[in-house]
Amino acid sequence: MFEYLLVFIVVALAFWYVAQTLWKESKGNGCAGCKCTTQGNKAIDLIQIKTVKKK
Amino acid sequence: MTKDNSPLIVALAGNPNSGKTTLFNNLTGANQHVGNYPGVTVEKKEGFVKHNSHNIKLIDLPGTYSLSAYSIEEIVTRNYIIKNKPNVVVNIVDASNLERNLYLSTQLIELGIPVIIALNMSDMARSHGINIDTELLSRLLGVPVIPTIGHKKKGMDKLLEAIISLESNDKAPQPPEVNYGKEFEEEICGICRLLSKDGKVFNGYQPRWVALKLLEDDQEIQKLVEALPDSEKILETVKTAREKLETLIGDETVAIISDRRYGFISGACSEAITLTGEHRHDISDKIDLALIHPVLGLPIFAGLMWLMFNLTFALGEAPMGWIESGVSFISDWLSSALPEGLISSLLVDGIIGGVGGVLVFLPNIMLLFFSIAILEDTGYMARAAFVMDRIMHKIGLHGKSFIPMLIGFGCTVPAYMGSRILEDKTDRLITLHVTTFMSCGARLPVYILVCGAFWPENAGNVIFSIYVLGILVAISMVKVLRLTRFKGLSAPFIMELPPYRIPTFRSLLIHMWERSWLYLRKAGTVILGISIIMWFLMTFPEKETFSQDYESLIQNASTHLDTGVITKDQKDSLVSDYNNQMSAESIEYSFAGRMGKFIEPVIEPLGFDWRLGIAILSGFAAKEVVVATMGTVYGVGETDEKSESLRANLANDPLYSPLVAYSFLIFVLLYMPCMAAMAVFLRESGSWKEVFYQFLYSTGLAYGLSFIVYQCGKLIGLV
Repeated sequence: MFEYLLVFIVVALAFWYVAQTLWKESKGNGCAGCKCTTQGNKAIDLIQIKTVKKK
Repeated sequence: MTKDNSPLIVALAGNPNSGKTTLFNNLTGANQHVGNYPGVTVEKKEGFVKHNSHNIKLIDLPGTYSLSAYSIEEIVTRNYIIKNKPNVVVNIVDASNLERNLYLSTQLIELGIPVIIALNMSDMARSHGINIDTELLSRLLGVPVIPTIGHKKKGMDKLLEAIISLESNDKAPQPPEVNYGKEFEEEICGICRLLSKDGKVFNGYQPRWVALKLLEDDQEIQKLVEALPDSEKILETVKTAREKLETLIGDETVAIISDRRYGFISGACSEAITLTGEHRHDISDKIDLALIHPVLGLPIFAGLMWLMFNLTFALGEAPMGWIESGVSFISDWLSSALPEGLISSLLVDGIIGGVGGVLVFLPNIMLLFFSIAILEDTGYMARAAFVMDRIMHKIGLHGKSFIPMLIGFGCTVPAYMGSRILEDKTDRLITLHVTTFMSCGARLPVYILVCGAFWPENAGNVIFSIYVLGILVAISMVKVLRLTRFKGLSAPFIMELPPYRIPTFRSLLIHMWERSWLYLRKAGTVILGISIIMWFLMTFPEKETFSQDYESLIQNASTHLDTGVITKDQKDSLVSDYNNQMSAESIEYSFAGRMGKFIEPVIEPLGFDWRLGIAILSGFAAKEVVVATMGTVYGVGETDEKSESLRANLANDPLYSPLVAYSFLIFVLLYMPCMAAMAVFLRESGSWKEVFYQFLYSTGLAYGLSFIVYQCGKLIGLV
């Protein structure tokens, strides 16, 4: 019985954590807690481009 | 402070990567506030600084290359300066890339506002052999020029003093106007005269600047002019002037104006700059002769990609084996140390099977990001985009779109964000839609796992073929989208190629570590959580009655051995078979088994069974989870006492063949990206419609191509 109880607590915690993380991610700021967006901005900054139209 | 004692409003403007934010942080410290500009998702940062009893409010404007209306950042910057009228605009300029940065400066100066140029990174410029006479440059441009070194906090006080002095000086210096040539100047004057009649509507816009913008065909300004009572006459005059100038000079007005601005900048730079490091550019030019050669450029790019994926696999093989052995050892040790039961199964099959399965690929991830860092830091990525530009132009998009696509080899999230560099909304949407097919780093473990199992000798080549397939699908989809949903032509542009640099080993290691740490963290957090959930779904509900009484059958086998009816080998084989059948029945009875069996008819034509179906479904959360789920599926399904590696399990499974494996790889490559990426996709595209379209067409394409490959392979007897 104790084994089942322990396993269900662990599973419930995992479920709660994953749901919370995916919810955060769905808000559009990249992977929860990671630096995707900062890296995105950095990547844009690194692109050395002139926005000049020319034939 | 200003005369009415309110704080001085100072806006910081500059090119991306000019050190603007560092300077802003230096000046304001922690005293800052972050928000958004109204109506757009562009970040607005404000901060306060007190200098010699003067209160200064600093606004960090978005990084822009010009004040045209091509991007949201450019419009936000321009509108802020014109509408909010800051007391001073500090233009942060990267001294090591002066000509490009001064393009924005000339446009700021043309707005007729008080401008100070902060010549940032002046130490780097000096180390690059660029010596700038700041006093002369200041005289030439007609604005104060203050040398600063952002990261060393040098020049901050002088900059603040210059701000206060410029604001308190009633007679600010009049900067010289850029001369656009006799023909242009006549037309500008004509348009200015018409505009001055109704100048009040422009609320702060200088007529000369508006005239220039109209000649540049700036749509935002044109909309403003349309509200004027005399608009028809003005716009007609502009149209005639534009046609006249284009016929006369033989080029678009926008190109001529930018050429003249660059001409002005070039003149100022040649006066104020002494170069001692020209040889660097000479070397870059020589290397470019080969790397961006019209014929050789593409094979070199393909060759470098091939090398990257082969090295990623070959060099990663040995450390991968060590981690694999370590994971198996821990697994076996725990199995023998813990009594058989739920806790042991959760630890061994769920946690170690899932997380361990992902950790095994850490060396390959490190090698991939190390290679990408080399390509980026040396300046080769810009060349790759340049080489692809020729192909992209032919199919209706330009090379600039290839840059976010290249970023996609690392992670799809920054790649989607990178599409912001495209000014045209249609170009941006097409780029967003096709960037999905550039295989992200998180999919690499799936490729390495599957290729290592089915093509151990040629894994690098097969992985390379998957990446090439991704590029080919992306390019083909550009053409398809251009012909169907997004008709039209892309805007031509000039791409600047930065000089080659030898990256420092430290910077390469930092880049590699940043991504690898992220991978590790993900393994210990989300992947751990999902592995536990997957284990639960594969274990519960527990099956109590089976199709046969396996316990008795195993008991019978032991009795037969004791009575000499069967040999020990025969008994072991029977016991193993009964255990496998019992385990298979248990999993099929579980939640995951039922879910997998439910979708199995849909994925069967692709050669997949329910286990691969479950792995694919879990990949919607994050692509690394595909491998973790497979690890758990095989862990729970495994009945032997000694753990087999996941690769061995896959290779020995009679249901899978190299054809099924390749079909699976294609599906993983092309189906929709992870949830985080989709959320960023929504933010960047700004439309749920585009998100659904992306989901349906990428997953549909994955299904279609996998189907074709598997069914054709079967027809020619590859199964």
